[in-house]
Order: sequence, then structure tokens, then C-alpha cells
Amino acid sequence: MASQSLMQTKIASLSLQSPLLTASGTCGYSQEFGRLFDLNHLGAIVVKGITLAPRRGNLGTRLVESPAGLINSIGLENPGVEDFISGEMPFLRQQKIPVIVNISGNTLEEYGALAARLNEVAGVSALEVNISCPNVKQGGMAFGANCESAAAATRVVREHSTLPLIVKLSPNVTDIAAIAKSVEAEGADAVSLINTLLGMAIDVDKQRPVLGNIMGGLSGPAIKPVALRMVWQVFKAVKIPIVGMGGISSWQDAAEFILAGAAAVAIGTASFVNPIIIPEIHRGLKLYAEKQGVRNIAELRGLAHQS
Amino acid sequence: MRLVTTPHLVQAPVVEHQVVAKEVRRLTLYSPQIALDAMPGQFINVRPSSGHDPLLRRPFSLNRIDSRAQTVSILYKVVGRGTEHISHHQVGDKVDTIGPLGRGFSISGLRGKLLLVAGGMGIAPMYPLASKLCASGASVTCLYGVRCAEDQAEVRELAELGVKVVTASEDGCGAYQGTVAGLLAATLGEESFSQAFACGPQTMLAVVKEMCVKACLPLQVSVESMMACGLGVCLGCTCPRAEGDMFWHVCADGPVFSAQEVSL
Repeated sequence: MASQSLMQTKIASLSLQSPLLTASGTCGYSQEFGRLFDLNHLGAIVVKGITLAPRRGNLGTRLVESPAGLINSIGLENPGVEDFISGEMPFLRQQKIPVIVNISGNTLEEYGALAARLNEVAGVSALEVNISCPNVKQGGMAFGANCESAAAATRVVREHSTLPLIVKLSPNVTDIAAIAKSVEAEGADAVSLINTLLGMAIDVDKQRPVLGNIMGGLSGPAIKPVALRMVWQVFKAVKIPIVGMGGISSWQDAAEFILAGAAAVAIGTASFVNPIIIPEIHRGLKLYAEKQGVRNIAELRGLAHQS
Repeated sequence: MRLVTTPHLVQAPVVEHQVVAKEVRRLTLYSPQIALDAMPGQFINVRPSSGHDPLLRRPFSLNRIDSRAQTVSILYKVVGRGTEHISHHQVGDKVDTIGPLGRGFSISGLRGKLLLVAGGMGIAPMYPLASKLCASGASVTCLYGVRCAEDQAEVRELAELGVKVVTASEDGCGAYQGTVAGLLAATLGEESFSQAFACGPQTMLAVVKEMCVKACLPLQVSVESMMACGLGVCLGCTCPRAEGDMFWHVCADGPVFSAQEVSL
């Protein structure tokens, strides 16, 4: 049975049959991809970010392609937590794999209310806390932009939830390892990184920004070296597991993140280009692990740090 | 946003790649699954290169659906890096394609006189639509706006289906001198229709909608948008709803909408 357990891994108390997750916002609430491949090949589903109230998202152009990348400013369009629970959880609950719900708030109170509400919902396996949203009571600076507000968001979710907490870190900071330590100290069970890098594009004919929201989040292969570097730094700084992501589009990319220290990895933008890429990466990564002669993929974690 | 049909992910061989007008090409792909399931107004999402740059797929309305030859075609102009890559495909090359996608035109039960309004590359979805409409015995007129005579595609093919094609051009090369909106106003002044279908630039669609509302003519519009996934997942391709302040998503809720559902 070695081959069956080869890809099993853990993030805190969550047992995953594969280290491959969907990145939040790139698989909706999973029904679309469920028509294209067996979702049970995934380690877990990480759903599109949920807020307390429904959000219509940003006006105007929301997407622009950049070299080997995509800049998006969707603006957290989502049906709100209540419609998510009634409309999406019944399907998600039927899947045999863990469901990780990504939550976002504009105030600490909103994070607390979301955590409390989801804590009582059957089928929710863990929370991923998006701290890249603006803190409207503190001048709109993102919660994830400094150690104090990142810690405060983690603390309030921890107080209202018994679920495993994965805090998703923003790369738009000077020292991501310091932020990772601050959320670890407040009881985060894991960190996921990186969220998108802030970017923009200008239309030279109209002489205006392309995106309706002016700035957006850059994702895709273009950001992979940055993401990998940050996973490397955070692995050195914290003891909690890391979910690595940022531009992963091949099994080799996934292997790099695991060797840098990730316990699991998430695939995002690459799924837009090839919606069945996760099962493909799974096959490649499994062959790689077999060739390395390990009994479990976790044995490869952080190996690149060996002196 | 839910997919209407389960799309196929295929490596479709190129069976024909023709230049059909100045800068306008038709790429025909062999795909029995897509050809069997596709409906007029639906689209396919084509990957321009197997590398990372350009990264995203490009959506194209289906320009031919040939269930006998088991092929589908797209009509395109080279406007950027994606279409530039696609233009290099040769017969026999395999093209990474997903489809059919989106909701097409609603055509069941349509009879009598029907009107198609196309602006520029908005002609692309009209042939498969007209083909179905003509086969069901409808009388079809197509108003087609082009910039100049060399841009004109599909006129002979549509005429062969039995469509009455009237071209509008600002340079005077068409039957009507002016914009397709001007031609539509003139046409609606003389004739009445039971249903209209339009595809073209957003500004054209807005004007066409306004005229059709005045003429009490039901209209379906095929809307264009930048897309990332084409599957209803990324939520990037918005079109404002006519009522309320929420958005439709062009790839999954459209690309064809009843004009009264959308704010153009």
C-alpha cells in the first residue's frame, strides 16, 4: 500500500490524500471543475473567498494579461456567507475531501462573525483567513501589511473558531517571515503563501489604467520565483506547516515548493489555462516521489535547506 | 453561473486555415465531440501557445458547426499576441481547445421574419445561427456593418443559405452608406420582424438595443469580454445586469443574453 500513502500529507490536524489544493478564487465553489475531473483527486478544495455580506465585486475591466501572468481585480465578488452555506455547502459536503473556506473581512468584527458562523456549519474542515483585505477602520491598510494587524485578525478568528486556521499571507510586505511569526504566535495552525502581488497595467491608446480598480493582483508563472523565495524564508522562520502557492504550473514547480518547505501546494492561475492540470501535476509529482525512493511525500519537505 | 453542458478538452487538429478577407481568417478544427454538442452562439476557448506567454486562452464564437464533417471553425482577425500565435497554425497542427462553452442563441419556435445585425467581426456567429433559422423555414435578413469592402466576410456564404444580406459601410462600398445603426433605423422604418439578434462592438449593441426597444422588437445580443477561464470560475468577465446592481458573467451566463437582461 506504499503507493497509496505516498502522497498523503497533513496540514495541522487535516489529513490530505494529496498535497495539491485549489487556490482560493480559482475554482469557484468547485462545481465547474467537478464536471471536468474527479474532485476526489484533490487534497482539499479551497473555495472562493467569502465575506459576511454579499459583494458585487469591482466595476469595469477586471482582468488583464501580462507577460506570463494575469492581473485581476475581481473585488471579492461572492454571495455572502449565508447564501454560500445554503447554496454551495450541500454540494461541497458530498465530496469526500476536506473543504477549506476562505474568509475575508473589512473589520475585526467581520472576521470574528464569519469564524463564529462557519464554526457551526457541517462539512467545513478548516478556515483560510485572507488578511490581504483593507482594514477600513484603520485607514484601509491591509490587515496583512504589518505584524500587529495580521496578529489581531488571527487572534479574533482563533477566539471564534475551533477549526484549523490557515492564515494566507500577503507578499506585499517588507518582511513576510516576521508576519508569519506573528500569526503563528496567535494560534494559526498553518500559513498559506503567497497571495497575489500588487500590480497594474496602462492602456497606451486610452492613456488610462486598464483595470477598473486601477490596481490588481498579479498571479501566474511570472510570480513563481518570488513566491518560492518567500516560502523558503517562512520555512526558516516558523514551525507550523506552509501551504505554498504562486505561479505553480507543473509538477516540477510543485516539487520546488515542497523542497523549499511547503507541506502542501495550491494551484491557481494554471487551472484557468488547463482546468485538468491538478490531476496532471499529481501524476508527475507522484512519479517524482517514487523515483526519489521516499515512502511519503512529506520526506521531501524542506530538503533544499540541507547544508 | 453554472455550465450549461460539460465542455470537452481536446487537442483538435487544424483541417483548414483560410484567409477569407483582408486580415480575417477562418480556422477549422476537427473535433467530433465539440461539433456534436455545439449550438449557435456558443464559443470555444483556444490556447494560443503551449508555453507561458501568452498565458491565457482566447475565446472565439463558433463560426461554423459542421456535424457531418465533425469540425468547428472560428473567424478571427490578428489583433494581439494571442491571435498572432494562432495565425501561425498550419493544417495538421493540434490546437488545445475547450468547448463548447457558454449559452448560445435561443432559437426554438422562431418563425417568420428574423433580423441579424452584425458589426465587423460580430459577423462570426451569424452563419451557424442563420443556417438553423433558414432550415426551420424562417425568412432571414442580415444587416452587416464593415469599415471597408476588403473587411467584408461571409456575404456570399450567407446569401447561399438564403439570407438577404445588406451591407453598410461608411466609405460607401456597401449597399448603404453609413453605420449599421443607420441601416437598422432605415430597415425598421420599412419592415417589421419578430426577433432580432446582434453581435458587434459594445457601443453598437447599445444603439441596436435602443432601436429595438423603440420598435418593440425582441433582441438577443452576443456580448464580448476579456476572459481568463471561460468556465464561470474566475468571475473576470462581467456584464452589468439591467436590474439590480449585480453582474452577469459573460462566459457562463452568456455570451448571448436577451437584451432586456443586460445594461449595455
